[in-house]
Amino acid sequence: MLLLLLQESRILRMFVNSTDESGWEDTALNWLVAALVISVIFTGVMLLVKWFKKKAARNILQRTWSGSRTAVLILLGLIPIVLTLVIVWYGTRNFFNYVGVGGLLKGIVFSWLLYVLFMFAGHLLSPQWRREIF
Amino acid sequence: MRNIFVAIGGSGAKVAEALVRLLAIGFPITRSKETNVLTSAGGTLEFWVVDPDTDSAATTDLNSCIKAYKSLEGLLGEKWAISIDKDVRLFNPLDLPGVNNDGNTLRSLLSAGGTQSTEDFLDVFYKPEELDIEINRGFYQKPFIGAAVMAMFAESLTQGTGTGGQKDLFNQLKSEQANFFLCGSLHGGTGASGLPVMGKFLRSEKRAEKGDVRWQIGACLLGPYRLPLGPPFGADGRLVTDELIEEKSKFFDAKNERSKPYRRAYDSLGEVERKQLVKQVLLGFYANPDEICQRAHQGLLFYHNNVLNRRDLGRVFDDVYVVSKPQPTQLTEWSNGGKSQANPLDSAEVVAALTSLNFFAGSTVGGGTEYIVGASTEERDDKLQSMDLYDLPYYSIGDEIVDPERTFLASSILVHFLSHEIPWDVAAKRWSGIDNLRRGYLHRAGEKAKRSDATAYKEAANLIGESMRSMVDTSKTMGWHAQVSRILDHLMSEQSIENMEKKGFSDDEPKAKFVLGRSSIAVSSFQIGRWYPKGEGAISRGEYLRMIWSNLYALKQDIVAN
Repeated sequence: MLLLLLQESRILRMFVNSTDESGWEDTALNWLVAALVISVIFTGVMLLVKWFKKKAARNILQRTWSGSRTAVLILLGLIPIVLTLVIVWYGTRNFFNYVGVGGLLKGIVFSWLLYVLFMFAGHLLSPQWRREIF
Repeated sequence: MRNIFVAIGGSGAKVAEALVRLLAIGFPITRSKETNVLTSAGGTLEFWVVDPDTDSAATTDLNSCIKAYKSLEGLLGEKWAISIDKDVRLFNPLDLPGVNNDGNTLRSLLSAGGTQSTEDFLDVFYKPEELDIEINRGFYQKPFIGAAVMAMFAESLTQGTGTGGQKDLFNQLKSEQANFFLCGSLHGGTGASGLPVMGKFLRSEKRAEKGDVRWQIGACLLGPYRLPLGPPFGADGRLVTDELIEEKSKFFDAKNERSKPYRRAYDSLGEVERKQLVKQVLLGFYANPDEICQRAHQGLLFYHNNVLNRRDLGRVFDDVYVVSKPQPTQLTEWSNGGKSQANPLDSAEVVAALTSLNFFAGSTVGGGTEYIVGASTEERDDKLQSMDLYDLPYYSIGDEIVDPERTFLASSILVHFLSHEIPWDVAAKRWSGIDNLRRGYLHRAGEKAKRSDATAYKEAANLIGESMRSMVDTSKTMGWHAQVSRILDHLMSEQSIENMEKKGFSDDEPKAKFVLGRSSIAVSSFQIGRWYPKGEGAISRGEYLRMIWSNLYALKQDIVAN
């Protein structure tokens, strides 16, 4: 549904450099899907990292996560998202040619926003984790 | 239950100080029926000090110690340890009611004139110098002086006109269940003369009520455990005159290297008192180290023949303990009583305090009608000059044996946990692994309550830690091995954080253990984090700590080879 809405909206145009070529909508949509998938993957990875670190904590001090520690973890997750997106962007001809640098930057921001949103949502799943962030 | 510790003389007061510190550390005397934890909370403890030396440094130390204990009580509430009366009740045996209450010499007390004057007989029993020496700084290791004063003092306790209203006090006590524990030295002046008299007085008060009074009377007699320095000088057979006093006073000159251990006692006095001090020494009124063992021997014989089993009173004491050292510890500073006699706490005094815990716990020394003197320490090459905590005697609470070393260990782990294992700086709602404690802070004002608790717990941990240090630190005490305080410090410090780390990824068992002497406790912070008292009402800080302490103490231990 969201994708359909995106297809119809002007939002897609924001993520490509050129709309002259036919099929630009597919490229833009694929780029957004890539950003979405990457953000979901890294949300999962970062939540797993947190779970692992908490489980492996050797004492109460290590297992207790302050708000800032959680914030740092979320911020750290932004880095691999950028790297992965750049690799995907550079490795895919269509993305490189039609999404361009501007679309790349917008895609990164989009992916970050989704990732942060998912991280917050992920913390809502457990009462303990909810208290660690809110 | 009302527990009363009667400290007689300076040694008794030092034991009282040790007892307060032991209770602050967490030493138990009962098992709570409500919570099933080992604790001392529930009853009350008060201290009476019988001493003519109103400036006694030992009493001052006791008061400071009780003040610190009350601070701890203020921080933790009444569920951590027994409630101690903040006011030490001072009984000055020279503060006699009526016509005798005049002066500080034996002559002025015994020859008050009138029809009851004993002046005509005094010269038969005492030398003139014994009658005229000021005795407001103790009885100078001469129980025959103290005995007369103490007898008058004991008699005054039953008189309604007594200065402290003591008759009312004892009448009130007769309606209560009370444990009296008397403590004093065998070889000194005040303790040696006061303890038998006070014991007999309490027993006769109890008997006078024909068995209706629910009193238990115990005593601890301190044999030689530390040796004072010898006198700074002697009279050399000369008559004590003002000129001789003047001449001998020069000994305390700062340029005289030999006077160094004696100077503090001398310098703390005013001009008139200094002359009195020199005179006391010249007349032989000082604690003589050469006579201590002999006096203790005489004291024991006196107890055996005249105190313990009497025809008129039966068993004076329900339990008697004798504490001494094979080789007394040598003091390095001289004093002849008063403010300057600030002796450091000795390991023997800690042992004596443990006997009082055994008594207050309701445990008796076996043996029926006989008095048993238990030798609880083993043979050692150093003759207990430097004790370890495992040398301390065990005591009983019902069928349970309390190991003092393990008690110290449990308390040091508790101090470490409070100080270094709880993330006080992080908002309580974010805590993980200590859910029960956290639950109390999840309400609206929870964070404020947590901050207040954090301050209180940390201060309490400091006070408990300080109590431990002040009992065994060789820079402040005598008779301990230096490693005891070093290990305790290490256990309480952040450096021990590894001991509380868990073993594996999904194994909350500890990977190491806390070891003190021959005791060990293995516990991880996650295991302690799960402990919390059951109950619907608010849990006080003291209740929480006591539960943790009791659980720590009860944990299984491996035998530590030493």
